[in-house]
Amino acid sequence: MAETVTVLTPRGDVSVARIAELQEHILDAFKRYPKVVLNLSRIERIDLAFVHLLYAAKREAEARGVVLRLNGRLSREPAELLQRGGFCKQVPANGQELEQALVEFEG
Amino acid sequence: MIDKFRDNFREEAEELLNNLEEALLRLEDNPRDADEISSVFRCMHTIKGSAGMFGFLHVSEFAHSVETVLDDVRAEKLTVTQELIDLTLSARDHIRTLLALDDEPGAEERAQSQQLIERLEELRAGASVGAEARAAETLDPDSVPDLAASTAEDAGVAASAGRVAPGQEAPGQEAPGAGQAPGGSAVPPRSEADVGHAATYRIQFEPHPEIYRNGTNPLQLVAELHELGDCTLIPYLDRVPKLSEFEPERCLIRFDAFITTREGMSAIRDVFMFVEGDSKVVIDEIDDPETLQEEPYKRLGEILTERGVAKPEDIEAAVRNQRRIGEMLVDGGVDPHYVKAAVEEQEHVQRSRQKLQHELQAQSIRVSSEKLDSLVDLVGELVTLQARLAQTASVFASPELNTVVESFERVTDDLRDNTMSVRMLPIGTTFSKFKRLVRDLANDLGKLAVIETIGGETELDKTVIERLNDPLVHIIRNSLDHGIEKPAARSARGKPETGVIRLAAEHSGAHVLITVADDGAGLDAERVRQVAVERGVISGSEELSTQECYELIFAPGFSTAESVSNVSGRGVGMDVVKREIEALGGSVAIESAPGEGTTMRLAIPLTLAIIDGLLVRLGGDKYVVPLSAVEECIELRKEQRQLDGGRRMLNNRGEVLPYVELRRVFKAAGERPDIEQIVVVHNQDDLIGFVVDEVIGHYQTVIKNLGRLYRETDGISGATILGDGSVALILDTQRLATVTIAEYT
Repeated sequence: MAETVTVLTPRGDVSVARIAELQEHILDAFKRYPKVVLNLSRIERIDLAFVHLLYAAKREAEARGVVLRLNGRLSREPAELLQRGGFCKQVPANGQELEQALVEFEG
Repeated sequence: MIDKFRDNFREEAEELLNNLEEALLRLEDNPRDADEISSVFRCMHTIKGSAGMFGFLHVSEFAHSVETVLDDVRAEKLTVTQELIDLTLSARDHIRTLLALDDEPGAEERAQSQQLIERLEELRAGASVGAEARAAETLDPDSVPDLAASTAEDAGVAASAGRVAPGQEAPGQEAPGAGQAPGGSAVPPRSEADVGHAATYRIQFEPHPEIYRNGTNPLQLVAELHELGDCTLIPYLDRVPKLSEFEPERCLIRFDAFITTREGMSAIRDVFMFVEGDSKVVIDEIDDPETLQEEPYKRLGEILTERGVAKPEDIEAAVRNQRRIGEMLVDGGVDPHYVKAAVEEQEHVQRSRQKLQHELQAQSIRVSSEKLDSLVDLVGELVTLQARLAQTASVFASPELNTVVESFERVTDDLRDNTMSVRMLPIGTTFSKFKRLVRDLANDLGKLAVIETIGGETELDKTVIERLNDPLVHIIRNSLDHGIEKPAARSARGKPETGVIRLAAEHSGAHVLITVADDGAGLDAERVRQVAVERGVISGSEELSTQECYELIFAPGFSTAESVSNVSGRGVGMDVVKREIEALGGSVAIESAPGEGTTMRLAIPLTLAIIDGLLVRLGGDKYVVPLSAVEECIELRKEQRQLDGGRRMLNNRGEVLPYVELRRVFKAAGERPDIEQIVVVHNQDDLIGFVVDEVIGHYQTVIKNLGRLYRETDGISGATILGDGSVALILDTQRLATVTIAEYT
């Protein structure tokens, strides 16, 4: 029975040492599901490698015709870091807002 | 030296504590307002930092404990409750007490600190239980609404939620170089006063692709730039590949940053200190917002050419074709990131210029009030000297000398006005204190009440504001205590449960009118009369109008409180309030409507230091009548005096004018002139005349306080030094009228 959506929930510290692992999971999900949701609510800490991963994943999804959604309430610390790094104008409250900010930036 | 710094710090802390109090009261109204939460946090954070710096270690430690709790609020681990506000307000009051101590805190203060910390800890502990419960809730699939929506279409798929969860097995792994949280306590806040010249810099930061290897998080680095000043960051993502081609350990994002700071280029270099060797860091000063305000910033085309993104020919072509440069370049294959960065650069510079201009306009320095007072004294001396000079010059009748004297007079007048305006403060600073008063007192009395303030920007002399504080506190206390009813009683009368006290200030000529109005029960005229009879203020047989009954509350002996500083007492003496206001040269009036509320109207002179006066003579002595009270001057001839048969009444254009012979009051020496002058002044709603020998004329009066021995003299508010060096007493017309009329009747 083919499932049409999956949710990935990275937890804790999502920085460079853990990115390869997450990359593998996302790529795997892209192969198997037409829609992939990244639930960001359990992330406590990020670095620039995570931002790289988000954009790379977005590009991959576009190339494959897969839907990538960001979801879940972002913790304050990573949200502020994203805003301070210039990736969003306002501190994103949740995945949807972040997704919006990233899409806007790309546009 | 250190003591001086400590005193300065005390002053600043007082301001911070007031801000904190205001922010807390606003937060109480809007407990979810993140801005208010941060401003409360910031106040406490600054108090902690500076207290530590100036050696108030106990304060610093105590503030740290409070800050920890506030940090939880900021991180949304703790919600804003009444208890939290109450505790933080108590902590604020406690810090104030600690700062006022000359020595290290004693056992009592330490115990108080400990008790407050324990209560705060309890609050935190209580909340962490709640937080776990909330964390459990976030596990609920409802927290991922988008997913719920998508699974609704594909029934039976919801079970996949969260099933792929990479990293579950490796929680808590510390990111290399992850560092401190932004906005945390790692970087002390920089005060605006100790910084240099503001400049805008452009930073091009291209991290080395292998930058992660040495444990650096470039995101943290660029985020740190925000600590230096207003910062705009533009990440370039054009080199980021698809996920399948992505090498997690290679850094391919680079940044442009525009930052306006007073910290200088070296402070920016410090941020990149550990990566500069490998990564590309180019810092250029691009704008000087303090000196180049006149010229507009570079055009988009210039920025792009400067950066080598576009050739001057391209720009010219765009201008020729009247196309937007950005659009054309993007069409021509230029990465939109570059155009966006150039636009951001323009916007940042414009914004920082505007902001700085605003800052420059609002720049202020702190001057001790003693210095200001001595400046005002000196200006007073100068005004006196100027008057003397003018008098002396008139004897010589030299046109040259007169020209100099006139110019001198103009400069003196300007100097006087400027100096007086420096002492003017918005009354709002006092108003904001009353919010706390109303809040606490309403709680104590089991009533619901809010205070609304209008006209807080109205300016009054600093000394007047200070002396106005206690009378206002008493009026407001009275309103709450006797005016505003309990919620149930209010409901029964069809009023909202929460009572409103409206505090308003407005300018009116040389006065400021302050109104304190409540929507409470109003005064019960009959009851007031009874109390007055019981306390022997009036005899039982007196017939009084309703308004006269109301005014009985100002009568001495009507209430039992003895001193105006007796804040905690009930039945505060309104006579003391009235005396204080009159000592300020002001007046107070009352209006009341049963069931609707009571209004107190205070008229306060703008300044106490220099007034316009009317100089008059009585025998060999001179007196000054404040011009603001004077209505007119009329003659009193010997025949008229004889006509009224000692009743001291005059028919002044159809109105009866009572008058007082100041000669008798001040026991003036010498012969009474045949033609005297009556200075007609306002006495509340009526007019009263003061008979003097001669009206000399308008006189710019610098008020000097009377010595301690004469301070209580009724009817005299101060003294001034005249141009010839002699002294004239300044009449307090209101008091004088009251005293003399009482004497005559």
